[in-house]
Amino acid sequence: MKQFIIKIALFSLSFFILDKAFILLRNNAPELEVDHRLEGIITGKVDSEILVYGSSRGARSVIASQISDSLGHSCYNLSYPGSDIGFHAYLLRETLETPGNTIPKVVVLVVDDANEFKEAKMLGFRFDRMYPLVKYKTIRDEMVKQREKKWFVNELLITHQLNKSHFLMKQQAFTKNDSIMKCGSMPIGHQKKNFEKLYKYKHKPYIYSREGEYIQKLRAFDEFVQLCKKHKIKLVIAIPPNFRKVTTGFQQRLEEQLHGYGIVFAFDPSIPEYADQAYFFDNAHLQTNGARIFTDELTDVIERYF
Amino acid sequence: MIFNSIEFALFLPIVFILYWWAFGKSMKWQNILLLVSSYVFYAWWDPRFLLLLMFSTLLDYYSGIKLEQTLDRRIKKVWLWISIGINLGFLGVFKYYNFFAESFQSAAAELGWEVDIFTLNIILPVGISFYTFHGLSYVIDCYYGRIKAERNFVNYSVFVSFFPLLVAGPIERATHLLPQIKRVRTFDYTRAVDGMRQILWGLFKKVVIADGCAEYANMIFNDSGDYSGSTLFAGALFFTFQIYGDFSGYSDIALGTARLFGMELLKNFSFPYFSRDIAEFWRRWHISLSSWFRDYLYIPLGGSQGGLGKKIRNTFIIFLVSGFWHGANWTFIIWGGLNALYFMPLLISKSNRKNLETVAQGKWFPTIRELIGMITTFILVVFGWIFFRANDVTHAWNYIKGIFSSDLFKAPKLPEEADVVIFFVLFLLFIEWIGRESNFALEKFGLRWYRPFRWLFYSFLLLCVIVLSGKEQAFIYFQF
Repeated sequence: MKQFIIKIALFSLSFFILDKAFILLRNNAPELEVDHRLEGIITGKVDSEILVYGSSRGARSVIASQISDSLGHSCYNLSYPGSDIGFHAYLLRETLETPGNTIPKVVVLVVDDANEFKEAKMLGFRFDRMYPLVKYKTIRDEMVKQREKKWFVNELLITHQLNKSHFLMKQQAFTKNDSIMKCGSMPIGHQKKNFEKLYKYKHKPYIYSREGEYIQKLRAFDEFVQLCKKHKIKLVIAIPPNFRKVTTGFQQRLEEQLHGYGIVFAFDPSIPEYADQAYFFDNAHLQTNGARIFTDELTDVIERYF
Repeated sequence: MIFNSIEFALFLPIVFILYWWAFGKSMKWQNILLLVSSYVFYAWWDPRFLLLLMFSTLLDYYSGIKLEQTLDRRIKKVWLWISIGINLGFLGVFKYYNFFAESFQSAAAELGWEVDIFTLNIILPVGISFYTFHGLSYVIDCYYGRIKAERNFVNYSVFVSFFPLLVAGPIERATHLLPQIKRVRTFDYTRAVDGMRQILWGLFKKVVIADGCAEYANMIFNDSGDYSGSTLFAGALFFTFQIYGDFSGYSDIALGTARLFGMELLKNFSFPYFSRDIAEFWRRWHISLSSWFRDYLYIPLGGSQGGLGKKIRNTFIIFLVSGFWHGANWTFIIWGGLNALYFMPLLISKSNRKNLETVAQGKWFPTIRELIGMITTFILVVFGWIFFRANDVTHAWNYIKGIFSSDLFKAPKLPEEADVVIFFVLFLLFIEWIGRESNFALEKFGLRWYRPFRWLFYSFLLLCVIVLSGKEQAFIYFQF
């Protein structure tokens, strides 16, 4: 029994020492990344008057440099494809609380019509964007807070802070669908394969229902709004167009959830391009040409605040 | 509490130290400790269902004594059926009521009748299928006089509730486990080290293989309409290794943990993906369930006695019931039926007991014939798992149709990080192939190595487990 305990203790000790070697792997990971926006937030390098948050709809549909050029005020896009409102609220919180970042005058939240408050398989907390940055304590703390990692093991072992992406040890590169402009936007200049085939029959009007709303998502949305309110930031909730899918009642639901702070801006359905397939990447995302039109619309709304 | 949790990582050493150091000299106190810790382990999930477990234990304990005391055959039969009826009644209500109600409703609707049947909004108590089967085997064995009724309630309760096997098996037999519970246990260093190795390998299979594969299996199965034939096939492969890693990983942890307490549980897996035919697969997959059905269903039905028609009937019954045991869904029943169909050519040609020994025994590589058998069996199993994983029969059917599309032979589209999981699956297959003649893959692997190398290998496994452990993922078989 004694021998068994001693062996286990010795093995644990040797593993503990071995574990510390992985600090090199952990600390080198940010350099292999191609998207440095989150690192910019947590190291206090965000310096724009207008910030855009959202999922892929925010990344594809809003061209931040176009807003900067039109208004003469700096604009930066912090939208992450596949992210949900929980992640957006986290990004905004980090932006506002990290020393060195400039508090923006206007924040645009591009929402997912009509899944902003509901379970959507493709939307979540982008831990994969956080893993390369685990050398920063703030990232590690958030992962523990989000229950992605266990506090005790996270503090004890470097290896618990890593994930499989660290072991690829490969310099990341932009892909056809995920190239990031200097302004942080990620517009797409082509159309999804089989676009017409995929969305031919999806042309039904959809009435928004509260059924299936997630309390966690509603809380995250409230946190987002409250953060803007606390820092006296003008808030614009933007709804970009879907192709051939119209949701009624979603805008009203958003307005209700805002509790009087901020405004909801929805695309103008009378603009003919929004009914033209040639302006869309797929049914939920505009192509660059469509994004330019939507960004123009959004610019007019933001202009009121300057 | 689940095995791949921090809670269990603290719970296990505490119970272990108390068991050997504080109560090492008293078997009675060791058993009391095991019972209390098993109840804590179970109640960690939901304390309400502890009462159900206790009631089931008490019922079978009392029935066992009554069966032994009663000489009248008719009264014995009454006690037997009371116990079976109540046990299966609980299982029926918690697991199958909604399925039968909804199926009846749909069938009535097909005939044009509108039937309004209420369904129950209840959660399935973890492990109910397993501990119910423990109890049933005990009562049936008592009825047939194969075992003496246990008079010590603590001992009997430990047999039903021993925490390593409580929620997902292996399904133990009183004839095997009870004598171990009643025997004085002394600490055995070799067995404990062996147990640790098996736990480590089980954790690797669960956290690295099962949870790693689950990510891509879920991604592909959840949006199966969007993927090419080859990607769908890759999704089915991911699930194939997910379910193996998950369930055999659990069994390894359970067996390893039991060894730390000086007990041997029934072997549940024996390298099933190296099987040369489907009959061999079923002798190697979830062995404790297959043998349970063989002993308590197949043989009472007549087993292999009688004509071919009877054998075919009994084989179909056992596979369909086994499918239904896994879950109240038509997909499981079809999965069972499909496996029965796979079995038929072997049964008819009387070659179902052909491959009894381990493949390529004493050799490095299998023969071409064995390899063809292994690949064919593996592919049949993969197609079976599609029904097991699918949400419903339509989903499974569309998934299979999707596989056989024109792009089946194009490279599957998978995220770059899937390469890491594929590497680990190949690593698993390699280690399991090397260790296929042992009780578990790591039993003899590396034992002759110089200690630093051996420890480095264990550190590598542990490192993989720690790196890939994030949010605790429950074991698939908890839902059964």
